[in-house]
Amino acid sequence: MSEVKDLEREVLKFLETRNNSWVFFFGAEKLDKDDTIKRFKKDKKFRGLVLTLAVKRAIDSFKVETDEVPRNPPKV
Amino acid sequence: MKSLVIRPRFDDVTGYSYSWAEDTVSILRPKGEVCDLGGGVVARGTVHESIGRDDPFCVVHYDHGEEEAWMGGPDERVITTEDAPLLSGRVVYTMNCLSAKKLGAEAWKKKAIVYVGYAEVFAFMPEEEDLFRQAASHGLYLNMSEGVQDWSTIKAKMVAKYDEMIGQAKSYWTQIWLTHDRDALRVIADGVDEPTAECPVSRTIEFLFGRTVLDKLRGIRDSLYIRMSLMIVLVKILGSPNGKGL
Repeated sequence: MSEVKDLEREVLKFLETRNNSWVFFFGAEKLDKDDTIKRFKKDKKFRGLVLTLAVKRAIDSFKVETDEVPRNPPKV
Repeated sequence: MKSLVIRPRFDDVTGYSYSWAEDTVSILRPKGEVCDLGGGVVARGTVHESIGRDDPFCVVHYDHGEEEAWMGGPDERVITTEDAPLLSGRVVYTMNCLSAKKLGAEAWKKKAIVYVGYAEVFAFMPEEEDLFRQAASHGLYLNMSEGVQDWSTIKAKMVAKYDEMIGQAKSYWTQIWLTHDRDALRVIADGVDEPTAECPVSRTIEFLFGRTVLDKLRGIRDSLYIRMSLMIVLVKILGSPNGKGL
C-alpha cells in the first residue's frame, strides 16, 4: 500500500532531521539518531511497531475529537 | 505500614529510573518506613532479606526487567517467577520492561493484591522525560495518597493520565511512545487485567466455574503429582532385583 510507504518515508524524514544529540530509550537500549534510523530501516519488527503506533495515534486523535462532540447535537 | 523501593542504578537507563523512583519514595514515606534500596547494583540477597525482615505492604521496582524477572544489576535477577510467593499479600508496583507478562501473572496467581507493570518494553524520550515519569508513578499516587482502592478505577485513571501526557507532548515521537507504554500497562488484580490461562482446559474451567475453582483444582493436581512421583520412586526402589533400587 502506497500510504504505508508514504508513512515510512515521513518517519525516516522525521528521524533524519533530528539533531545529533537526539536520543531515544527503547527498553535497555539507548538509540541515537543514526541507531534509530538504522533500526527502522533494517528491523522489520521495530519498523512495524513504529508504523502501528503512528496509526494508533491517529485513531486516538480522531477518538478524542469524536468524544468531545455530543453524538446527536440538539437542533438549534 | 512498611514499604520497599528497589531502584538500582548501573547504566544510562537506570540513571533515569533511579531518579523517577524518587517519586515513589515521596509517595510512600508519609505512610510509614521505606526501605530504599538503590543507587548502585542491588543484590538478590539484600532484596530477599529486606522482604523477610520488614514484611513490606508495598514493593516497588524501577529498573530493567524481563518477562520472568526484575533486575538488580546487569546479571543480577533480584526477583524471578520462582520468587512470586514472596509477593503474596502485597501491593506490587513496577516500572520496568516486560515483567507484567509472566512474573506479574505469577505474582497474581500467588495472591499478590495487585501487580502494576508493563507487558512490553518500556520506551521513553529523555527530552520529555517528565511526561513518562509522571504517568509511571500515577497509580501509586492514586492508591497511597488519594486513597483510591479500586484497581480498575486506578487503571482507568492511569490510562487517562497517559492520555493527558500525550496531549502535552511536543514531539510526535514522544506521543507514539507514550501511547506504546500506555497500551503495555497492566494492572493485574481481581477483575482487572486478569491473565487468562494458557491451557484450553484451564480456560474452559475458568470460564465455567471461575478462578477460585481453577486454583483449587490446580492445587489438587499438584498434590497428586507429588504423591504419584513418590509412588513411582518407591515402586522402582522396591521393584529392583537387589532391593537396593536406583
